Amino acid sequence: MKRLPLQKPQTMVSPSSSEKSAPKCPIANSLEQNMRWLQERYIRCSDLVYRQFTISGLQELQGAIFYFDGMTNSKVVHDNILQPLLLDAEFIENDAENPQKYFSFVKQRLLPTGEITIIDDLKQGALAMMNGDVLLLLDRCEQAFIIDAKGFPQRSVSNSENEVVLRGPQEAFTEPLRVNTALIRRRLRTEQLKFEEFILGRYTQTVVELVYLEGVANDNIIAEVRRRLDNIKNVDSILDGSCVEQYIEDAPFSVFPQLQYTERPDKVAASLLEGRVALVIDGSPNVLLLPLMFVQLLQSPEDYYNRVVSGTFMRWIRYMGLLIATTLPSLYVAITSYHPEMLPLSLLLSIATAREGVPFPAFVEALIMELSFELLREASIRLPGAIGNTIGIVGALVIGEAAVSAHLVAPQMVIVVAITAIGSFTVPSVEASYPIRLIRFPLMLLAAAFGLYGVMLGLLAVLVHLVNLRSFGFPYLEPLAPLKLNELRDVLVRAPRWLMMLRPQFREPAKQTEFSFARDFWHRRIQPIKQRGDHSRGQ
Amino acid sequence: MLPYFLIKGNGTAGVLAMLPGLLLGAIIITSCAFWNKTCEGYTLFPALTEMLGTFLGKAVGFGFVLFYASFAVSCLYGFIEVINGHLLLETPRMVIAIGIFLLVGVLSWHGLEDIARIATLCAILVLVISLLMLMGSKGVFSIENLLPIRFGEPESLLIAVRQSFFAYGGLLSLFMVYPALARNAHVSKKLMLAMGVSSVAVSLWIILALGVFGQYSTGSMIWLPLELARMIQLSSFLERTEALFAILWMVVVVANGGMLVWCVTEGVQQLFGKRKNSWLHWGTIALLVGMGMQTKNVLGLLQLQQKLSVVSLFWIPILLLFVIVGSLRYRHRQRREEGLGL
Repeated sequence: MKRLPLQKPQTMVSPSSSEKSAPKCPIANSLEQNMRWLQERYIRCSDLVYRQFTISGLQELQGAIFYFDGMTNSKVVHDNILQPLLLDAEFIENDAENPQKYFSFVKQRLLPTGEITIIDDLKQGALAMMNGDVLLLLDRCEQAFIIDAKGFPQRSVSNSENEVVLRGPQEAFTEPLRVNTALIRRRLRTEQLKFEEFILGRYTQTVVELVYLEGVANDNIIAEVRRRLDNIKNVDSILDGSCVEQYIEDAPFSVFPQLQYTERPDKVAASLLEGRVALVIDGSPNVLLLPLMFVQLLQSPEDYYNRVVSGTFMRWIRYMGLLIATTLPSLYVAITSYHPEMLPLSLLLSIATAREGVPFPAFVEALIMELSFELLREASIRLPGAIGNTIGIVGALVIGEAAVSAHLVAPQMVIVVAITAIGSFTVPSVEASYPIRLIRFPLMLLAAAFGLYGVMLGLLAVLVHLVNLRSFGFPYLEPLAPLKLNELRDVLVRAPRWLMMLRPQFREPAKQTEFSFARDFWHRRIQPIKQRGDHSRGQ
Repeated sequence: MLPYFLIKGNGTAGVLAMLPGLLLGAIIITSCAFWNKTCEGYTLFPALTEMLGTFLGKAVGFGFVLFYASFAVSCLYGFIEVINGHLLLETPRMVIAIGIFLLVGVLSWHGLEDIARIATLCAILVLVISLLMLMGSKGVFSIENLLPIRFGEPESLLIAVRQSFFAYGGLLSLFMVYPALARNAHVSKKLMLAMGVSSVAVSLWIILALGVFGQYSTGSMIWLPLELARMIQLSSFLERTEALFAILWMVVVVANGGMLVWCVTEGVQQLFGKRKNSWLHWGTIALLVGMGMQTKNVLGLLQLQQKLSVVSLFWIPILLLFVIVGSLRYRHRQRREEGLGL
């Protein structure tokens, strides 16, 4: 399996932008020349808006603004850019003759907005316009202003649809990059939280931010991610996080994901604190987290918001769900076809009676039901809201009932498929459900051909693949293989927070402070509160 | 198949026949440690060439490869016979063999690190299986079946000793693996402990089987753990769980087989001076499949085991002798060169 190697960082290189390597287009002295350049570049772009004007009514002070209609906030353009420049400016005429003086005057006094960038490259200005900013050009000045006036339509922050929790924060990411970075920044209020910008995609110029906690994240991972992102800066387009994922993952042909998606800011914050790295992509409500271990696909944020016992119990329910979703149909096929002696007599008779009159072998039954369920599942995603839910429920009931009545399948098979489906829904990550669904079918085939031996052969093949899989150089099955006993406390159980003071494998801890903290915490945790009139409490 | 040979004709005292094997295992581990200390940084085949010269080194290396190949075939085909004889009676043996060898081939191609990771999981599985066997045989175990403790005919005892010699001779694979293990401190002590634990596990199964079936019935059972699993009832729900135990045991077989096949393919590649050559790797595995198919059934496998155990009485000591003598000469040569300031 091809594996992209980790490289040690040589120096801490600054993030590169696709524009940095492209030749610059210096801003000319003449406003007309600059305007002509921009108009030619964006010829037949009907959403380009430009306005030439005189500043403060003085003919020698010409200026022009360029922006894209629909991308900017009109109120900011009118009130904070045009009004001060056209109406409120009071120039001393001598200053108007000196370009540097009046440029400085405009910058200091006439642009009441929060973010202004001074540029000398028209291409940079063009890029900023496409991000929703306003470009202000002044005659006889070889510099221009990029004024933050973003106002493109965006979805408001809402509940997470795919990672629902009963307890804990309900916010989810949206499409605009800055909203998402703000949601992360709100949770990690430290100067160590770094956002490195990359601009990827020749036609989309998508902004991708590499997010990490400096001093916590593994420097090798950061350097490797930078290297992989630099390698893809000249691709045609980056439309979503999945595009980035497909370009930078270690094993593109594996069914198992090597990067994790999330739409929850709290999950990103927790992952960054563990030493992982996040990729925030403009235009995508999903953030990528890496590296990814398989066990992380089965962890939910709710485990950590609930009590220890509850969290542990839910986690084990999920493990059971995973096992059932992957192996139940194949085990049913194997045991009924090859090893019926394993079942108690009463159960065996029940299955035999139910299967009487069914013309298909167990494998074909299982295949029909599983494929029907997959068709229903896929169809219900495409259908709009209420219809999809109805079709899902009614279809499942009708198909199951009809199939049993027509003696096409045994009732036990319907139960097996239903339990399998429920098991697959317990997996919290959407990207983990696909490999489970895919693996089920080859396992069923192997069970039909070789019974339990075939099932084990298939499971071992998957295990061999997983043991070999890496996510940015880290073993995918860690901490199970290689076995790391001290990290199993967050795998087999959900240990209390005061017992999880060491960061996991991504970052080597500088000092072993964990156990002294845990011991001190346990001794200090309860202080008796003396109540009035109660002489028995407190010492 | 070791339990079969130990018990056949020897009864309870057959467990004692493991002692010579244990002694051999200890000698192998100590020789490994000595060799690795002398030739630190070398893997086995370059070390043999360095110690014994090119021709003799490669010849001894070939001897190692042949031993690994025969051991791998014996182990893997033993499991294939279990599957073919008890679970999939109508499936051609070749098909089962190809399935196992493909899996083992992929695992060995990935390397020692991945094999070690799967082997870690095996340790947990062996514990689970042993516990299940202990719990499940509670109702059918009788201590009276273990008595009287008797020694069988000298011929039976000799066969048992030979088989134990051959079984523990598989530790020769440590010579391939030791350079990777030697990064850990006190590795030879850990290996001795591991050997001891696995011997205790085998003894436990033999004693369980004897307690359940008696000393005379067990003499005719080839696959003792399988027969034991057949008797076990897990609560009142599951019975005849030998298929379940067999496929759980498959994890152990795949891990062991992976390591043995890795020793063979890595040995062949080192002999030819190649690294990660897929043709050599898969060609060697095809040869192993072919070698094993020469045994037509379980009787053929038993005969092969017996022949190998006879040959190994000379084979293993000769290989060990070459390694130890070569290490001593190499150490002497190194000290002489250091003395001369070279």
